[in-house]
Amino acid sequence: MKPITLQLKKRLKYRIDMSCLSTLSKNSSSLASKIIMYGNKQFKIKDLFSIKGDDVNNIVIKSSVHLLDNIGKKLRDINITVYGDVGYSLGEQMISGKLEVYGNTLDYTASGMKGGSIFIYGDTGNYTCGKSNSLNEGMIDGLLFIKGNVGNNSIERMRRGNIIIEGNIGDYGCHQMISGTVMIKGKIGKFFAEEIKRGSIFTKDKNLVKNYNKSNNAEYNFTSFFIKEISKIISKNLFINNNSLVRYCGHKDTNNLSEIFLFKG
Amino acid sequence: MITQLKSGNVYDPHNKIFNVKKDIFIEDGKIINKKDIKSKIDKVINCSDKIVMPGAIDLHTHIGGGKVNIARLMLEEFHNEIDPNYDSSSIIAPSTLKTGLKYIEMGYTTCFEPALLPINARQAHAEMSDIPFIDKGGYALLGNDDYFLSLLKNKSSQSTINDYVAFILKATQSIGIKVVNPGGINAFKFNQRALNVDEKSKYFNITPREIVEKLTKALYDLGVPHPLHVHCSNLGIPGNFFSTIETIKAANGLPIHLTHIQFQSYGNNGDRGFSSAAVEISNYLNKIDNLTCDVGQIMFGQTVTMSGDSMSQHRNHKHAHPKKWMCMDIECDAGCGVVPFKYQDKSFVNALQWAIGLEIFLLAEDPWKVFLTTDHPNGAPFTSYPHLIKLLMDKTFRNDILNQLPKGILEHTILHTLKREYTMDEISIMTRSAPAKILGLEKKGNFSNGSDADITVYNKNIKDIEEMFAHPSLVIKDGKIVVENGQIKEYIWGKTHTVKPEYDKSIEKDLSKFFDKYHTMKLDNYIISDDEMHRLVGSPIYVNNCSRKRKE
Amino acid sequence: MASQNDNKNLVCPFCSLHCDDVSVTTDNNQYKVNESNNVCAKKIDTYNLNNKSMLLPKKGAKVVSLSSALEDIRNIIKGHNETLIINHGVDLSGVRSMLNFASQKNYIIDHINSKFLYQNIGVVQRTGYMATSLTEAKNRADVVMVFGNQIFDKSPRLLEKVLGAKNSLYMKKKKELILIGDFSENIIKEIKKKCNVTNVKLDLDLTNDFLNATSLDSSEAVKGLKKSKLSNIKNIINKSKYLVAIWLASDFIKAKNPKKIISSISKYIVDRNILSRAACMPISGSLADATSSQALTWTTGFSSRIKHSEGTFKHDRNAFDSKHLIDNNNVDVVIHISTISPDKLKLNKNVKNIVLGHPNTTFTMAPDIFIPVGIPGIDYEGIMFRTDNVVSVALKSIRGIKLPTTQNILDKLA
Repeated sequence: MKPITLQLKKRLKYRIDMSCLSTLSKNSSSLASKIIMYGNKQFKIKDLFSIKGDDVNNIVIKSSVHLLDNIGKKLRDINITVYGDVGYSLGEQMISGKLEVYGNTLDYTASGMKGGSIFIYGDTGNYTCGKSNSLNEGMIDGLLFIKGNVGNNSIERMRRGNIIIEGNIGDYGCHQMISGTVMIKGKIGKFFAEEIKRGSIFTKDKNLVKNYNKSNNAEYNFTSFFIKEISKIISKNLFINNNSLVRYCGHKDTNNLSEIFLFKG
Repeated sequence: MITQLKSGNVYDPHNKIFNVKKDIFIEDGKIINKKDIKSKIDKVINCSDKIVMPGAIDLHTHIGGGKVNIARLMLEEFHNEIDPNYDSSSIIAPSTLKTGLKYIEMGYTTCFEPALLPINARQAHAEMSDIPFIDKGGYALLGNDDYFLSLLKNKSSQSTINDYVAFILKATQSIGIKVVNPGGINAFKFNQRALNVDEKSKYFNITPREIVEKLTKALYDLGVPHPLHVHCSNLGIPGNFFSTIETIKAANGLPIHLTHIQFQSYGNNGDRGFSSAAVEISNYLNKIDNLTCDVGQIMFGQTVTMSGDSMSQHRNHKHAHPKKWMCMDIECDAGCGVVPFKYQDKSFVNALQWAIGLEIFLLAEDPWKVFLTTDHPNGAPFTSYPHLIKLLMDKTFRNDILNQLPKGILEHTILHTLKREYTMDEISIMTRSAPAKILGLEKKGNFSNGSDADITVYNKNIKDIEEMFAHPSLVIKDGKIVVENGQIKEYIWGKTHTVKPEYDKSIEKDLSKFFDKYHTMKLDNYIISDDEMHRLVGSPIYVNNCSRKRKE
Repeated sequence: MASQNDNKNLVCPFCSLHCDDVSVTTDNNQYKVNESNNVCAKKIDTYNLNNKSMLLPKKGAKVVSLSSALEDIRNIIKGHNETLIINHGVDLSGVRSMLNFASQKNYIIDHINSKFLYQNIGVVQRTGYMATSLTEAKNRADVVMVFGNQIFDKSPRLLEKVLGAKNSLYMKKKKELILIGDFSENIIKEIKKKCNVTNVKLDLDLTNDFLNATSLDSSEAVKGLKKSKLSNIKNIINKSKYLVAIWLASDFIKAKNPKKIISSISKYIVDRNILSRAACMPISGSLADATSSQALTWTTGFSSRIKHSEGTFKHDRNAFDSKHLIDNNNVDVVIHISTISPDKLKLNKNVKNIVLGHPNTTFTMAPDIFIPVGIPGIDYEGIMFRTDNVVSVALKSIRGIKLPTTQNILDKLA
């Protein structure tokens, strides 16, 4: 079986809600005649996309543009690969499966994510991995890998899960983080990790640890294992070298219990 | 045009007709006697394997007004049911359209919003006008507004109070008066956190008993058909059945209606300090004649509690699920509180609440005195009515569910010993004729000559009671076929039911002064005229008769 | 027709307080506010017709008949694929017909003030919240915390009617006002006549720190605030029996994190309710924000930014944001409905602009079609919601110009 491949037939002007991809029945012919709105008119998917392949568990979207919203919203057990940019709310409240994007995404990427994994080989917008519309929880679980930069107000109220960012992160990152692990290679914006409760952050930004207590006799066996495992999942070497890690834990003034690992690089 | 429903099994409790093969004739939206038919019959609908009942009436369901809108707004994440026939709003806080659709599909044709804040009445009516199909009405909230309490404090005469009550009925286009936690909402604004029936409130020095006394008397004197609709003090607190019985006594033998009595029938015995007082309450209910009640059954699952009782809702906010809630003090008039809640079958308290509601249903002897409600959405959404009917009519079904609940509750409930099963006759009484009678709706809930042709036809061949009540094969509203075999045939819009007892207009002068001085709007703007109801709010009104002339 | 020198009661449609105690004299369809000392009189007068008012529909610069304007609109919307309706303020009947219109043609609806609305709604949707309404604040509040600085300009009679009201059921003393933000001297002078004022000049981003510092057991300091002043404020607040916090969400838009300001105020108020009473009272904008959000919520379940598609209204806070849609050129036709304010409408040249508006409306560029419509509360009767969302007022009609209502036009187009 070959993955279902969707290719846009024409240049788009209006936004399209693609959340119907997540609720596919196990019959590829039903996809073609699935109704989506384009502008204020109803279309069948086959009117806008050329469709090839028949494996409903693997979907490929080619020549995607930033007007395709809600790709992989509430996704369950399906793999979607996108070549090109995507719109708002990629993988919002995703439950399981895998999303890969070879392009940039707009706001609310991976908001309220509950599980599965998302790989973005480009930049993401604001509110990445934030609270989804009206839900009070941010990321609940899952893995998010971002090759590029991340916008403002990202990673709000994260509860569990792992986030790896190879680029920079904007202002107000990790606000009210409850738990989980965030690894950031690049620069960190203003007001980072305010009102954080617990959780682990890997960074090389020394400013962050100003008011933290240094753990003098910390062991790094687990981090070494963890870094190896993460490297396996993202199938390349992580930017963190276990030997250079220094652990800081607990803020001096507030009662937050978060830990920060400084690395050199 | 005349329509004939041919040889159905007719239930018309008002006329003492139960399960009798009979024809029903409809002309111009009204029921018509066979002998009065002058022209030829245009349409014959064969009902030979059908049960024919008047359209059902829900006398306590929160379907309009500010608090419902707060719930809709608050619970946005639940708005995502993918169901092509409806909009995406959630059934625990449905949009107006969905409310109408779901009610009419169940064969409910008349519904009453029980907590219409006088100051919020215009919004509540505008909102309810947007509910298709059903007829509706509201009970105005009194008993916590500063004007009424100052009347009591100044020892005003009963006749002045009667004038005020009648004025409120007219100004807010309501059909009855409800009191929520008498005096308690007001006391909460003065930072009082509990108020017992004989406890004096902090500022006004007035007990809930006095408030209930005065209001029941006022409604009796005015001849308003629906007795005072009471949400008692201490709602939901273990041991509150004492205050419930005291509240009933406060009516001094005059008619009184206790609403969602399930939440009011808690004892404080047992190792957990929470027990059922259903026996005490239903014994009392069976003994006296002036009391009617609706149950407010709970069902397990996510819902949202909304009430005017800001005192108890603020107390309950810690139990919110999901963790968000809102309470509001409103315009020296009343308050409101919205707290989402999930009833869990694993929880001892919730499971016992479920059992208490059913105990009351089964122990209450007279179906004319107890009504079927879930206090939508406080106990459960109204769409669970068919399930509730099955619980009442099917002992085995009931006990199967009971046995899945935590073992501990069997020691605290007598539900498993209750052998009673409701009959179809009794269901037809408690969902149709009894509510119509207690509300004074002469044209509803019966098949007498000239009554409104609101008819629900169920398919007798469906063996599962729940399924039968959930999907009537035919629903007729005002003589028009609106639902046929589960399909909506035609969109129609109902009316608003009101009652307008007479009163001495001089009360308006005093009120007008009060408004100019202390309110932020004028009295003129507070009153909703009949014309405004029709043209701006969007719903024509129907004035029901008072049961008799005003007494002094 | 309104006769000459007719005294009439105006239910004011122009700001979210919707005062109903303004009497006006009408003369040849011009109206004049009677009380000369009324703070709003000047403001209301500017809504009178003037020699630049447009009473007939226009196509570009050309005056056309109503029927031909409607025909043109029909042609425009037929020939295009994505239409956005922006509500700049209209009464309930207008919102209802807007919903009806959009549901038949699959259009997007947004209110121009949605972004402020969402800041306030965010608190209700995510945490606990205690609210109150104008009359409660008037009669019960002893201490009022005011955040921001535009609030008295946007709701000019808030001070006179509520905060500094002469009569109050339970408050025999003047209210204590704590002004937080950067208030101008003139306003403070004005407020001091009616209330006791403590002025706290504070960067609003420090709201959270300030509120934390005012709790009894706190010893924290706040940047830019003297210790003596802070302890003074502590005293006032801790004596209060009914504390009210008011703000105007649009005041926070320049702050670094507006949502955080509102959520910290709300959390502070909720915490105070453990022992004492307190409540929030956000003041909404003056473009019938409350009317739009209430009516949309009860018909669709969502307060703004909805699109009708596949038989129901769908909501997306990002994708149906009118500003993004227009800026990114994702719509063809924009229908502006602006019946309350004659302020300059921003139009975009990349889209077809249709305006149903106040006769005095001005534009940044000429719209493709303009139809003057009646002003609710001036030209026709209607219903609008007040800022506290619980009170709705019945607007009256005070002059006799025969302008079509928004409802008339939309129902004809639907």
